Amino acid sequence: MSDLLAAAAAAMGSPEHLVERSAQARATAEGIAYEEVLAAWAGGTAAPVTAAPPAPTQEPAPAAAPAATTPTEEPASPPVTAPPPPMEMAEVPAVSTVAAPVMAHSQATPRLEGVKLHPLSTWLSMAALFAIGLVITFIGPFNTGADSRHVVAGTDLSAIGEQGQSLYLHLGCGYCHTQLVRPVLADVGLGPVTEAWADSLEDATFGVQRIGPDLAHAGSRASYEDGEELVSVEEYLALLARPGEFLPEGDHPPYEHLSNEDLLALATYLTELE
Amino acid sequence: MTGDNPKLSRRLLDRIGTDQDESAASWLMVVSCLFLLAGTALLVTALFKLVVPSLFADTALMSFGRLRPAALLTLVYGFGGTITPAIAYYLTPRLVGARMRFQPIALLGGLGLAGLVALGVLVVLFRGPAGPELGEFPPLFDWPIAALLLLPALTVSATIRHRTEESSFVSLLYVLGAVWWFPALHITGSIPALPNAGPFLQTGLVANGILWLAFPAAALGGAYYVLVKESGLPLFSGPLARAGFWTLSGTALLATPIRFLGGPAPDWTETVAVVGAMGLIVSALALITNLGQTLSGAWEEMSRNPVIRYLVVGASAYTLVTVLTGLSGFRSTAAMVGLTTWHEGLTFGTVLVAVPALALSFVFHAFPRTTGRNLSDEIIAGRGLRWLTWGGGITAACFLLAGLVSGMAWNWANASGTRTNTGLGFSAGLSEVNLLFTLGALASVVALAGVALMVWTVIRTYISGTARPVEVLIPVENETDE
Repeated sequence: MSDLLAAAAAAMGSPEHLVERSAQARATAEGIAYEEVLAAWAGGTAAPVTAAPPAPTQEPAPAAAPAATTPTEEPASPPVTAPPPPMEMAEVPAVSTVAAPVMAHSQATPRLEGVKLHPLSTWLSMAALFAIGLVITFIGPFNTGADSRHVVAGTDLSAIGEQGQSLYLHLGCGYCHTQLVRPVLADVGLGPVTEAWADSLEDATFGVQRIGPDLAHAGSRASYEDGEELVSVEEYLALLARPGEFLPEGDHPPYEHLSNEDLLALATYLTELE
Repeated sequence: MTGDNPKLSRRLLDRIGTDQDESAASWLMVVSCLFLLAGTALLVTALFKLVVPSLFADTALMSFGRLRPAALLTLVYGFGGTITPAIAYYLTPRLVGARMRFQPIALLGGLGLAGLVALGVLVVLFRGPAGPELGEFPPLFDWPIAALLLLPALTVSATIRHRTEESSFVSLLYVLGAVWWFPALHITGSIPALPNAGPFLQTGLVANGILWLAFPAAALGGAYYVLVKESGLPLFSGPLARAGFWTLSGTALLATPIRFLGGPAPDWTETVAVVGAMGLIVSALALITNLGQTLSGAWEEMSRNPVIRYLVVGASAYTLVTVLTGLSGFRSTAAMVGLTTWHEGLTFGTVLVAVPALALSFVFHAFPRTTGRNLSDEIIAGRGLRWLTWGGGITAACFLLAGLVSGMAWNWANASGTRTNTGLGFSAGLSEVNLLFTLGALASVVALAGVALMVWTVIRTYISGTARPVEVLIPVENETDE
């Protein structure tokens, strides 16, 4: 049996375990012995098939022709019960009568119509469109330094403020808070519009969305406790560690797990965002 | 040429790793399903963390700021980065009539990418994101990931070079686009230390470019193929499908700044973005029109064939998300929904429903054919789709609605002068959308259950599916050895 399987596998140029499964399925489907199928595939008599399909045409069917009336085979898939194409073999010479294992579902499907393939020109066209997109949305705006609206405006951070900025990034604060004030009605009251490339943008702290308030000018905000005063480092420290004391329960996660040093750095950074 | 010497030809083919085995496509399909499950689980956790911020508050890795990027990286780079080559490795040989080149290298590269992404996600969870959206991997990971993303591009191109088919079905265009766009966008996002506006512009281009262009492209290509193969009907319009592809490739990048409209980018980029966003819609309409017209008169296929159901759900979700994305590019809309969770809703619609449904329709079509199995349980597969559709759809809808409510509340607050959008004023506005966040989080659990059923169907297909004949691929006589 294993010799037969090996011979069939060699004839098919496929792994034995796949040939074995395929032969079993074919035998079940055709109601014949498993050995017969293997023998047929190994170069003996072809296993019987149940239905002879219409002869596949190699030429593409006319685009308007209904596929049901002009069945054609998909370029790379063999038709259902047609004799298989000769498989590559090193040592089994006779293959023309071997009935290859075929797909149960591979009834004649419409040819996958296409146009003549020019890989290089296709690739070049895609690359050109990509380059145009890159220039217009990235390189172009990046090089508008002459536009006074886009001159760099520095935000001086202290050493501990920079440490806080790094923490801000690594804690992912930007997924809830932005540092980006737009010239739109929704952003009125958030402070000066971000018209210049602020330093904060360099570290991608402009954020993604506002599930929490914008922090572009967090250092210029009024105190939570006393609306007359500016918010202080101590207040931000307390807010980060015990937000429930300032905000309705559930509005901000507590960051008590941070060290005092980290909390101080983060609070300092926020107050330096003026 | 070695065509007249079979032994030599065999040896050469073995040496360069070309054979009929489709292990690369099979393995990558399984790996991508596992990433889909893991990414969805992370996303569900992130959403619950959003609703209950005090949940696991004493652990940094359980913060929303780490869970959210970890989830999206897992879904986009893990699931998207492996399903893209899986689709490419399955489709390319069938469409060009040539054996897949460098199969073992392709498999190793795919598994290497999966390992690297998994490791990178862990680093993001434990040490925090290291860059802007979808660029959060540590810099050390960026270039190895780029190299591994380039591998499918090279192997697919090498296979196409040995084609025996003169014409190409539209799926090949999408596959070719997907395998090149992914590394190109990743590399663009990995350019280090750009001054001033660099990271800002990079985020818009790379994050949206990957989400709109590279991530769905292979799934769209697979959808066209599966539609014809499963329905047994000819594609309604090849030219329309190709027009959709070229419009997508020409306009998707132009649309990328729309999330930050009103930001410090020059005004003209906004105009271009609006035009680009309209172009995005064309590709989605091309797909849904082709789907509808191809299946016209054969809609009973939907109830009979789960693969077609997946296709219809995925294409519909993709169209809806894309149309909403296009609409949010208008300046007036952007002023309302910009920086709100509206865009989060669009992202969830893409990564939770549209692309998974399209990709799974492909997996359920292709996986049985590469492994010699029958799909294990069509009922469970259908149930998974229902749960994914309802769960993921409600999650996306809740965040879209929350974004709309937030935008209106911010505008109303300033127009009426009744409150500010900072501090306690913002908290007051947040209470208006918390219910929607909660609903969205709960619905995401249903989506996770749906994904789990889909993944189980794939795994069960392999471990206990009924044996079936495998598909024999390329006749060697057509091979042109060089």
